[in-house]
Amino acid sequence: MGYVAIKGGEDAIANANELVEFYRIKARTKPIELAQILGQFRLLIDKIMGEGSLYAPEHAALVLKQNEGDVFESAFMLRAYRATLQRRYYSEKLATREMFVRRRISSAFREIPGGQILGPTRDYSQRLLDARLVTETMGDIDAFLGEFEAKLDRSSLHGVPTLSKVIDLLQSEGLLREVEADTNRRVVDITREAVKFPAPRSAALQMLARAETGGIMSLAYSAQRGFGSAHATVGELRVGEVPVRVRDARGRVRLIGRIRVTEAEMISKIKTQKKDPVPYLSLGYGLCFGQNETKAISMGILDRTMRSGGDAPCQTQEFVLYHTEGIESYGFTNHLKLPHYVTFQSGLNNLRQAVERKEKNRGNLGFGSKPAPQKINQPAS
Amino acid sequence: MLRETVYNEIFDSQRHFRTILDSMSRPGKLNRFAPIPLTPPAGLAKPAAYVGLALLNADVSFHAELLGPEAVAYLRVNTHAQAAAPGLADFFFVRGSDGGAAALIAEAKLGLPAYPETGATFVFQVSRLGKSSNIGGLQLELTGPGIETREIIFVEGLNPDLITAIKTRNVEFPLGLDAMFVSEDESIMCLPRTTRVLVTNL
Amino acid sequence: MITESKFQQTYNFGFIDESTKKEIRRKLLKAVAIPGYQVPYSSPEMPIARGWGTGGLHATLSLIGPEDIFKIIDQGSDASVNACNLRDFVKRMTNCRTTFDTAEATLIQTRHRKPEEILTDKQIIVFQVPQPEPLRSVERYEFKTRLMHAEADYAKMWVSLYESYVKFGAIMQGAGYPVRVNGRYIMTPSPIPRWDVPNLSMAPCLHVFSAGREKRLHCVPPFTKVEPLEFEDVKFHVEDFGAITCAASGGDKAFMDEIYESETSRKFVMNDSNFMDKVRSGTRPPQRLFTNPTV
Repeated sequence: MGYVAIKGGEDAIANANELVEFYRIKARTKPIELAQILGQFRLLIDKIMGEGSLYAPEHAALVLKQNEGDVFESAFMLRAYRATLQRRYYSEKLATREMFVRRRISSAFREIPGGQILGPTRDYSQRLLDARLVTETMGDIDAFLGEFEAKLDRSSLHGVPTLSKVIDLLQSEGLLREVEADTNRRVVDITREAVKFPAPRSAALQMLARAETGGIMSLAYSAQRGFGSAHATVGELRVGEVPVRVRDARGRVRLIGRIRVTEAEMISKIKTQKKDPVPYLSLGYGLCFGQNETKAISMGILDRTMRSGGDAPCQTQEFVLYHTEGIESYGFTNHLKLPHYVTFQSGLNNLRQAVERKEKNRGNLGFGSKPAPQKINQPAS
Repeated sequence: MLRETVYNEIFDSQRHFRTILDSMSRPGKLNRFAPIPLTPPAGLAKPAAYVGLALLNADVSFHAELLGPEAVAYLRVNTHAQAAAPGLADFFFVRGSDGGAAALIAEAKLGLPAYPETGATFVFQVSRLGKSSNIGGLQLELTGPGIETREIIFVEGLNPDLITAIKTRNVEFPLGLDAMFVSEDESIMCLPRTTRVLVTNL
Repeated sequence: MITESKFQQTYNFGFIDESTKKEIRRKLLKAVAIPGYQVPYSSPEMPIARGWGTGGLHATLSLIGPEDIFKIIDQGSDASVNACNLRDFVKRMTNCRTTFDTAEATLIQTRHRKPEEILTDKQIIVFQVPQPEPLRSVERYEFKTRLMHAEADYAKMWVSLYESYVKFGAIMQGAGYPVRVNGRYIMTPSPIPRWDVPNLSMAPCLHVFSAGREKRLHCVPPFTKVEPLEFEDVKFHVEDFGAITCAASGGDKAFMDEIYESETSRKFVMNDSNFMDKVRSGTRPPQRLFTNPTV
């Protein structure tokens, strides 16, 4: 027909879908197996599970493959899938003290009970391209793993203890205080009710745990640069597996599995009060799926800044929580691609009438005449 | 039988919800529920059970003590909603003839100025609802949103004190209570908090 | 370990689980009972991106039953790409009949338009809403706008409309013109053009407005007064299309799209595609028309 530009939508969609599939596989390379994505894109899977708000590594691998590696799209798809799953139980409180620790550091103390455990991290590596990987073979992998495993003392693995927390040291000395004592302690489920402001801390932490990593990093960074003061120290950062338990219909607590999480306990000084001039320390808390230290630390900083008062972006709950929600901001930013010609027409109509009024009222009311050239105030020399 | 097996959680609740929604949108309009052979206990009228099964679940609470413990148990088992004290309940199930319900109306939550939707919903079981005066009982004249000019409806088996009680509590819009009236022939009529009600035959 | 059956999935009727549907239904009833007030709701994720009609889908899928006849339009058109995609989704999840015919539909989802044809008391129309808060342009914080609504304190809004008049000689709000519902709440009518705004007032159908990303829904019940904000001496105007006629149907008095054929020549066609089709076939459907006040 052709007289309305966007008729024929159904064909266009079908064609677009076909093209997407074509671009996904047109290079005619070997199909990527989910096991490969799971095995070699561990950190990416962790990020997608965190933002997708569903601990399901295999599903995360699938969406990643399906979306040609687009992280936003993958996290979004996982979130949508999550919404179709029945919620049968709420888990019991996670006890991160029970964590099987893979990595654990504190920057507040030189030595901590149980020791600093550097674990798997790229923090102290030199970020240089590794040319060996260009030609990596199965043989290389076998050789490395053989050598690595030979070095392990397997008998010692059974004895790995759970570790006490660094903050216990400060707590026992009475140096830690709540930022605000009257915090609303109601545990809400942000997937079952819309968040209301001021949001209880439980809602804020849930939203941050699902937030887009880059988004919360940028706000946490702004807090450190001076838009809202946060001079945070990593009290403790740990990565490892924690058991998840639910209570069954008969009231028995049952273990349903273990998930890998990153936990950050960020320490900073609280504002002193007139009544009590001691600059006590307080905690900001971060916890997210998988190994995602940037996210846990950023979350810890924002948890603290949002409760500290002030009007910097990082101190404003609504600003932080609404705008770091990756799935929503991704969707809305992209919705600008939808046709908007009706709303645009409505605005255009106003604009044309304003131009007409200007012609008619030349010289009147101040909006008719040509604006005088702006004078720029020169600073006194 | 306590647990209903004939109720289709997907399709029956959808159909009944649409009936309720149409009634809430058009105060004074009479709608008939599609019949389902539920077997609620003696105190709980069948159409009140329709409302309960259509709208209640584990996320909300109700108060139905005036209808007897069997009614409470029935609603709890079939909807997973929690029974609650009058000051906390989201839904109330009462007999329209029961003047004692006025005390519940007086105690029910009205919502908060910033969140008025948390005001409670009342389901009144009455004997008959109708458009013509050959039905006895109260003649209500209604105006407000959802009504083109005005509506007249007759309600039999409704204690006028309850209407007075509701009106007393609905003076501070947007705070307020919303009311549903269900009759023995399984009809429903609603009076949201925006409806101005005049009892014209007292 | 990785088995295919793990990824097979069947979906509930209407995609959304029954527990969430009930929650949305309860909120819809409250939204009807408090016309123009934004009710917060859970807004579960949908397989459609935020900002692309998720709120509309929440309302639609909580309302829809097997007997419904569903119509969906985007910018007035049934065949717009996003409308096609959402129609396909609703169809797959409900197996409901779909239609382009405004009169035949029992449930209509729309983005940015209310159809020209009069909707009846048997029809429900669901608007997709990007930003449900009319006060957001004058107050960025939700907890403050909540208070303003609670106290019916709309001074900031009036001041901003007045400033617009002083600056531009008119209230420059285009689509989404703020309205007052039932004399109480100020509401954004989704961004429908001003052309459609009077058509919300005292209409026979139920209007549902749903904003998924912002997790709010609000309603204009049938036969409810909806007044655009205006001053005694500065009146609300619908878009003025003058004597323009539709190049495809020859009809006039409808919201028109401007179509540029080249850089110098443009023509107009009716925006509501089903309405235009009916006008073309010689049966102009009943329509409520509003004329601008003479200043």
